[in-house]
Amino acid sequence: MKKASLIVTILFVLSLTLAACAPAAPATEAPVVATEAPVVATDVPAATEAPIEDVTLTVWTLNSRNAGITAILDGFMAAYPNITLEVSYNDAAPHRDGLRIAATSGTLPSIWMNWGGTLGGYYAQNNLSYDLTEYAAANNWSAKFEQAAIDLSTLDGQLAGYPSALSVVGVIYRKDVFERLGITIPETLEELEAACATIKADGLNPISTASGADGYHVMRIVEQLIETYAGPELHDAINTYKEPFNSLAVVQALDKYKEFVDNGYFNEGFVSAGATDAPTKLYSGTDSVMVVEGQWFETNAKKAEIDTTAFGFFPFPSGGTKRMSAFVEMYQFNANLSDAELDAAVKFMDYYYSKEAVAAEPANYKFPLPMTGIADIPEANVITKAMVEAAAAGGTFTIGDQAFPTEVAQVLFSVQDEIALGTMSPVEGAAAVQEAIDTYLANK
Amino acid sequence: MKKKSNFSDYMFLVPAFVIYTSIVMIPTFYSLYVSLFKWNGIAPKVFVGLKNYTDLFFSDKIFLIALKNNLIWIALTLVFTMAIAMGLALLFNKEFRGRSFFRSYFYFPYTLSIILVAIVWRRMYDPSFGFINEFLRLINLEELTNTWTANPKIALFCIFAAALWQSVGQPMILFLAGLQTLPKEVLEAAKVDGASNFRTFFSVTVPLMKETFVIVIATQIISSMKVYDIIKGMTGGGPANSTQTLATYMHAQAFLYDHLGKGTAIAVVMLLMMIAIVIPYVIYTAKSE
Repeated sequence: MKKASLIVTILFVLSLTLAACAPAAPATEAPVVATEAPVVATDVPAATEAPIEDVTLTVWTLNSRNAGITAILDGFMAAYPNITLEVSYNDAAPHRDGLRIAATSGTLPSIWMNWGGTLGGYYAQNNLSYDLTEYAAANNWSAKFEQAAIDLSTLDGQLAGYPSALSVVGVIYRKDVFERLGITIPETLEELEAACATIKADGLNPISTASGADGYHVMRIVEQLIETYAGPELHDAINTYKEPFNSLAVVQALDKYKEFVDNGYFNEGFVSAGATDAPTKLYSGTDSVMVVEGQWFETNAKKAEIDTTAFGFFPFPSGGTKRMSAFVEMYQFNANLSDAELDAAVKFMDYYYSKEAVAAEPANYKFPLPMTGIADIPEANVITKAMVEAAAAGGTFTIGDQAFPTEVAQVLFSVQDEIALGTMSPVEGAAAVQEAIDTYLANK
Repeated sequence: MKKKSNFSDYMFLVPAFVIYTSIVMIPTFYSLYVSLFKWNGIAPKVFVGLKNYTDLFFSDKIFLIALKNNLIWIALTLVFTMAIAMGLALLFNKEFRGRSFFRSYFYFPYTLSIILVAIVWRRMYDPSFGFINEFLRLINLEELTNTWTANPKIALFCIFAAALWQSVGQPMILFLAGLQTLPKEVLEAAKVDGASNFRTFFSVTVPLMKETFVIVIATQIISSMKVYDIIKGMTGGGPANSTQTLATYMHAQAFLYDHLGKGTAIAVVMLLMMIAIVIPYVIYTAKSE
């Protein structure tokens, strides 16, 4: 009896393990973590026509949006007393995971923040997000938003969300180190390699990056090398599965990536470094000199009270028009919203991104805004302006970890690490990613 | 005299039974059911039988790496965590000034959040500015510096060191509790008979603490099989999947790649492994009483 009860006790503890993995657990409200004290907007946007019926909307978004939404929430609900908003905030990874769990249990909120590409496309493909194509046409969104934002938010043939931010990625560098070493802005890959060699000889680290759990960071360099060797047309064809990933151009790009690693152009141990640390290594000017980052580098550096005039920007010298990788953020709406709820959701987004709300607290918004005529990039955001102008002039391509589904992107991240560690050749790496693409397409 | 149970006794078990069934048993068997399907959580399920399992064992290289890593983690836990915890318990079972302080000191890391431990140790292992390499440089041992968690050959052991620092407090306390229940006269009798400390420990202390060992070993094996937080926080399973464990890979399959069938299959494998290791040990221990 004693033996049996001990066995039952052990089985009880073991079964808790399996229960923890049970799918389709209903999602409860994501935890609210206020990161900043609420900021009161000084100018309240004018209310448009209020909906007739009472509407309650649930909104899931990131912690980093807390200040911006909190600033306008009371004003919005005062302007529209029939609309009630329940907002939840979370960090990026748990937000993404929470959305997936909610999707499988049918408990998605009314509105949720998402990224473009395959992240947002999952909801469009599975008819979970509202197809805004007709609504956009009826309400002249082509004049309301930048065309690039509409294009990047069009996933699986439908306008999958309300665009809320456009991001572009380029090379941020320390101006003082470039001046001291007599380095000019690289216009070609060879010039970039020469700059890295000069910096390395001076005892500094040329490029700060990260991989491992944050493989998307070094991927920004790898995809620019692919752009260099493949050119825009082939690169786009590879990203849309029209051409194989294990083409010669990609193998050449991975070869060059391996060369960068072997020459010591990346920070030591980058395969397990964290992406949040990568840009901060430029702050002192005595560690790393360049980082491939988005325009948020400037905002984050300002928040950390770093003098951003010490930094400059140039597009990665990938040849041709030097296209920059880009991605969109958007707010997706639940496919089951009623007409009244959809109207209320759009009213909220319009209010959040109104001219008055942005002018009141520009620090709460990610520039450039994808809406036309709302706000220019603040004059103080010099790097952001330069990046946006370069993207407008040279064009953009969808960033790799959104062009590919998560399972293919993870294989790419792993391949990047294995090539860097010398346990896989570039040919094998390209083949491994192609195999993952083939498996994904077969299962789709 | 043994009291006979009547109906009302069983009625008191009903609330616990309902909660346990709904929260544990039903999800457990549902997971088993889902593991027989190919399913992304939204589209209709497609029955594939045991294909998820055969795919894992015969064509999934990362699963085999994760399985190997879990077995290594179990071995490291049974050797190092148990030995260090027992050693500290034996030390703190003796009377000396400051004993309470040192018990708290060594137990304290166990109270910390595992993610906090992961962040702190990740920074300590940084090759450029981490404490470990900086310290080695300071004491003129630069040749011993390493990339630590960026080195796939030793990354798992680096993470284990962090986990060991964090977790040794709990088995230490369990062993200490067990030591304090030992009858003093038996230990004194062994001393009087001329047994050395070493002989007393293995021939008297360990046999008397058998039930404590059963609980500690069983819980340590179970937590070794489930190790997730510290791996996720320090390396995310990299570099190049070298630190993947069954739990991290299960999470990736189920929640990143939407392969719920494969994810739940990994969970079933974990459960069966724990049953295969823990139950025979418990039965053997119970039999030898």
